[in-house]
Amino acid sequence: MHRSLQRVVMLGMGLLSVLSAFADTFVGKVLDESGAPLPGAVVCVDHSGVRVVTDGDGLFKIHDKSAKVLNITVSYIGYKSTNSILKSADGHHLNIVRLMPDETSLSEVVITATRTPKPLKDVPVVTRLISESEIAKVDATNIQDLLTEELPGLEFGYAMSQETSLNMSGFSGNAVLFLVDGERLAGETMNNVDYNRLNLDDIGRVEIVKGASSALYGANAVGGVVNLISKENSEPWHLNLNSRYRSLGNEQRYGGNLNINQGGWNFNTSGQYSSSETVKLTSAFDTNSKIHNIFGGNSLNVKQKVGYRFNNGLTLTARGGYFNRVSNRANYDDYYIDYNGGLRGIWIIDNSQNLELSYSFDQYDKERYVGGVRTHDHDYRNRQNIVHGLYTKFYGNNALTIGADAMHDYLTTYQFLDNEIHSQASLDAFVQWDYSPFQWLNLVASVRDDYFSESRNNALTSRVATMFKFPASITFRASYAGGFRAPSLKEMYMNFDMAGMQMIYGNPDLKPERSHNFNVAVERSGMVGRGILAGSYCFTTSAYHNYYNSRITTAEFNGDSTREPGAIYANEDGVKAMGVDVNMRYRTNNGFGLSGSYNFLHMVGRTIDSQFSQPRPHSATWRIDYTRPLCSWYKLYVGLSGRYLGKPDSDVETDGAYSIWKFTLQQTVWRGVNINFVVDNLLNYKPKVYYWNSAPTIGRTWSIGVSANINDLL
Amino acid sequence: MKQVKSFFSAMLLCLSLICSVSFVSCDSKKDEPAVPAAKSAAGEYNNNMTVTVMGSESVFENVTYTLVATSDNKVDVQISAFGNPPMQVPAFTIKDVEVSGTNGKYTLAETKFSGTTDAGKAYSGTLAGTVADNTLTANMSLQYGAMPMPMICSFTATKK
Repeated sequence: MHRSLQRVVMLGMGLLSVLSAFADTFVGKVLDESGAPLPGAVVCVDHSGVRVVTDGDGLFKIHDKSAKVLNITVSYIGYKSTNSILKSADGHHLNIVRLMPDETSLSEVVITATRTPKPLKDVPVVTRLISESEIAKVDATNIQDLLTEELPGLEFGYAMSQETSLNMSGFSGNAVLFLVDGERLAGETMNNVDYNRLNLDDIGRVEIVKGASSALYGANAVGGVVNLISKENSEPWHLNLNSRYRSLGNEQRYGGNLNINQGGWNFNTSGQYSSSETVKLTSAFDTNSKIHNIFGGNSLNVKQKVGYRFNNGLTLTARGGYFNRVSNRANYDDYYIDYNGGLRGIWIIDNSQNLELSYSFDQYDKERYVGGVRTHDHDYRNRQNIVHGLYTKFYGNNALTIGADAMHDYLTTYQFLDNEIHSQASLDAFVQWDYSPFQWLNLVASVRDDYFSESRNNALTSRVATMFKFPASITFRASYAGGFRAPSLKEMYMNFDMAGMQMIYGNPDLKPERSHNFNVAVERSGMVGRGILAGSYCFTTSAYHNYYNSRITTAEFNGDSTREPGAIYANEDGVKAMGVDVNMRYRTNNGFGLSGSYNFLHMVGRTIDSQFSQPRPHSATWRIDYTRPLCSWYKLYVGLSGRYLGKPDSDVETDGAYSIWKFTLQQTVWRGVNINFVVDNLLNYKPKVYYWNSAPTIGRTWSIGVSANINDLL
Repeated sequence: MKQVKSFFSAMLLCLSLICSVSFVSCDSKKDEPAVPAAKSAAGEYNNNMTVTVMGSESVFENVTYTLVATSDNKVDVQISAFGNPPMQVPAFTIKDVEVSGTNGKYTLAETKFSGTTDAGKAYSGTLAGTVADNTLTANMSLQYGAMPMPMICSFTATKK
């Protein structure tokens, strides 16, 4: 009996020792809402602050001898941070943590508003974030498609050359700065960059700051900044292949993205090819319509990036890209070709400071071909070389940012006399103080000076912005920001005979355009309801007032001793654009979602009221959707979205009000395989007359797309 | 008597032959070879032409459309030079336009065309029209050279 008792005690002690050996190890797996593993999710132990990152299979392991259970917080960009309790690995217990998408996106980190990473909920300037999942829902080919669906108050139209023009809250395209990973783009089509260059295959998110931002970004950030941020993938390798067919113009798109992480190296290659045929909008003899066809063409976009992360916190990245677009016309083909490259070094010196240096090269060419033969009568080349420096020093929650840029801009174009060459250097320096004395208060002040050698213009701009939360669920924002746009080389030196109809002359004495933007906003977010209505919501209302001064436009020119009458670039005063933005998002925990945005715009003074672009006082976008993983390998997304554009406030004969609805069915049918089916213009809207700003539609169309993550399949 | 009877028989035969021939002659219109549609529509038409560009109308005087039949159902449409700078277009020809119809009413089928002028400028467009009672009504959408917008030409004239 005694011996038996002794054996039992020995056995029990042995078991305890085995258990105690397991007690310090916690193993878990992080999954997304569809059951797929989430590599790169951050798991933080609440009591110790220890952090681990999930591996390629979403697995993590924590060693902690202090407790049998651990409280952890798991976070991942685009998903709601989740608290969970881990059981120790006795019996090899695998803890499963499932993250749900954060439809309000407020915890996502954005960079455009302050040039330093900051959670969206804490930025002092209203920033609209379009996340990777939203990009996927729209299944857009380029930024133009995406922004049209997501942002009210923003409208793309056509101009005579059938290149795209933009109107954003009363500002024309050249007053909105488009960036890719913070870098400017060379070249222009109508009044902005070539939007076809901005394909979304390798884009992880798009950040939009409406209103002036020249105190951080310099010229052209008069009416807003749109920054496309590339995807960052932490998996050992990732390969996505995708394709889409669209019935409108028999459009075909093929794309792929390969990302490899090996040691400290990162390789990323992406490519996209698309083609479309000319779409006949209306009868060739329709004398009321301004536009009769949407001309077809094709484009190729290839990008390569190589990065290496050193042990001392230094990361070096080299990138290169090639773009080629052929735009067919009735009697000729226009070619748009771009070569770009860059080097970037980011050095995290220590926990409190980092330094970024970069060099960027971008060359954008235009050529014209008739019958396959280059004519040389439309040759154009814009080349930009830019060097950036950005230093950030953190003092607790506060940050000092100092930056400087130098740019050399080279332009030769058929719109100059004898294709002469003009170039210009610009220099700038800026400083920003980001002050957060409390969690509920943030103040940011920045000032910047830009100098342009050719026009000898100096532009000093500033911004002051504040964010405070009272109570915690309500966020108030208020800001003043200055903006400017320096006269471009084209506007200074143009000497162009426009199809024999009119001469247009540049003006070297132009002054920079200026804008003063005042913005106030209130945002409320949180959880709501019980039962089936339980979910999260975010409601934002902002009011803005822009005073737009010295706008550069063309004015009548009576001619002089050397020049015949025509038009000449000149500064004009006095445009005021004011309005209200309302955004609402609500998503229930069981997958129903509702979102909507409305923009009211009122303009006073000499508004941009050409036949190509007119401000619309009322516009809105909306989406009702349902998303649900029905089993581990099948996930469903059904969405009904739309946009409304009110009648333009214009004196010229123009488009009326219209709405367009879109149905989207997106299915994840196997690991990493998505099939998208879209019916666009569901209600078969057709304009009676096609104006330049009319919807470029011939009625109901459809598209089908396939996307496969090959690494998930394997 | 037999000879007389034969004579009358012969006379009757001749008379009936003559009558039959003359009846056939009286119904002659049906049996005349029909003039082909292209040849009926062919001719020279001259008048002013209205040209609309981006909604703005201009009228160009003394424009001539000459329809030249190249087969029974096809014409070449020769259009004289028209316009003033910057919309000055030299003479050009649209070939092989199909013509159909009868009894003075003909249709010029919608035809896409393209070509290069003697000066080397490319042009393209669409032409359609009708000829009714010797009046030509033609609509033409013309893309000329690098001009980004079409010239929509409306032309009505009576055959010379």
